[in-house]
Amino acid sequence: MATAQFFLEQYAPMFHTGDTRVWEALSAPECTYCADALENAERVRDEGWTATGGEIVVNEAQTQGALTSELEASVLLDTQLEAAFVAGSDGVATPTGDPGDVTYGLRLELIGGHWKITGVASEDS
Amino acid sequence: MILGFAAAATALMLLTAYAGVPQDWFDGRADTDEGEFGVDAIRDDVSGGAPGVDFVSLRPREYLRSPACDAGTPVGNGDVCSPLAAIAFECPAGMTPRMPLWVRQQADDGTWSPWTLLVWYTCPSEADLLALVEREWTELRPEPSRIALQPGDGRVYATVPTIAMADDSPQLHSAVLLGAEVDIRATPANYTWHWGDGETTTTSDPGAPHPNATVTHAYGRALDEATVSLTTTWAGEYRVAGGAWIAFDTVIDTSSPGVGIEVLHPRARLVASNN
Repeated sequence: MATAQFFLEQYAPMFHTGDTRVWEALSAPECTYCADALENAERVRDEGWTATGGEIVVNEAQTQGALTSELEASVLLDTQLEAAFVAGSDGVATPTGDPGDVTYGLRLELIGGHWKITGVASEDS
Repeated sequence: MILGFAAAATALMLLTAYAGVPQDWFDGRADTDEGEFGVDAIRDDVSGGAPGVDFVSLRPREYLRSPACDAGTPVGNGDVCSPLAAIAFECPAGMTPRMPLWVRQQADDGTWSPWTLLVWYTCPSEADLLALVEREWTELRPEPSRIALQPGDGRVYATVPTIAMADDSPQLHSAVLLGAEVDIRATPANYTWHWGDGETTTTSDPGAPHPNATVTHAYGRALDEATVSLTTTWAGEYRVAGGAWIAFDTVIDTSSPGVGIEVLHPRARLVASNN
């Protein structure tokens, strides 16, 4: 559960800083959500855009997790998603994400002794 | 009219901004049409709805890396036991196995379950080892080659070849990476001499002393002093656990400290003879 929470908390900083290393280290190859977010963060960085907001704040009192096999786990996290903005080269900030309560479901796999994210689903609460 | 124009301009600016920055690129949410599962599937997992699920919600767990004992328990759990002496678990290239991972869970009454094995001994991958070896090579700083010049007293003669020589000894470096013994050998591949008069010479020849000189440079009469420096390009090889040497794809450059010289300008002059 700690890995899942830490992973979601890296979402916004990755867009803010363009540093994708932590995100990549925690992402398994089959994770579509991980790959899409990585591609978008790299695009924001490469275009010279500036991302603000978008933080995923986990409600630690509502976390649930289960080992579904010796090497697989599922985690359910209730979060508060902050409003997100991206400013282009002209400095105009465009809202790119609505704030709100979002529930995330993550699947993880123990790969080489490390938990990695293999899939992410979400729904607005 | 003016208000209408301003509104149109604002709308145009917003359209421009939205065209450049896609709205859904940074919204944190997962696309609903591409995932293989939804949040409901995770709810089933954590609520015990899926078959074979070990429900652990809100129950503290502890994880431990420890060698295994004969009884199949970790060392250091309070029991009297000795580590399995003959685990017979050997990793490639002599790498050290990662210790087993154990887990235990706290019950509602505060007691802890016995440690149970989660992951047995595993080996680091050879790709991990190779990545560390490559990093060791790129961070290696060989001692710069020693420079020797002839004449060796710091004074050379214009138009007369000055002889240059570099130490061509290979340099060895050893390291233990992931438990494997790794040797790295750096060998000079090329020497670039900077003569201090704007000219350079690049050669794979380390040079030789008089009378078999192979690397020389003749200074003109335009300068009275110069500083000779040398850039050495090192090729590298490595071997693991005393095996065969394997070449690196990359090279390393080092710069030797410059050597200052005085350039003399001897001139022939007729003198009176007493004979």
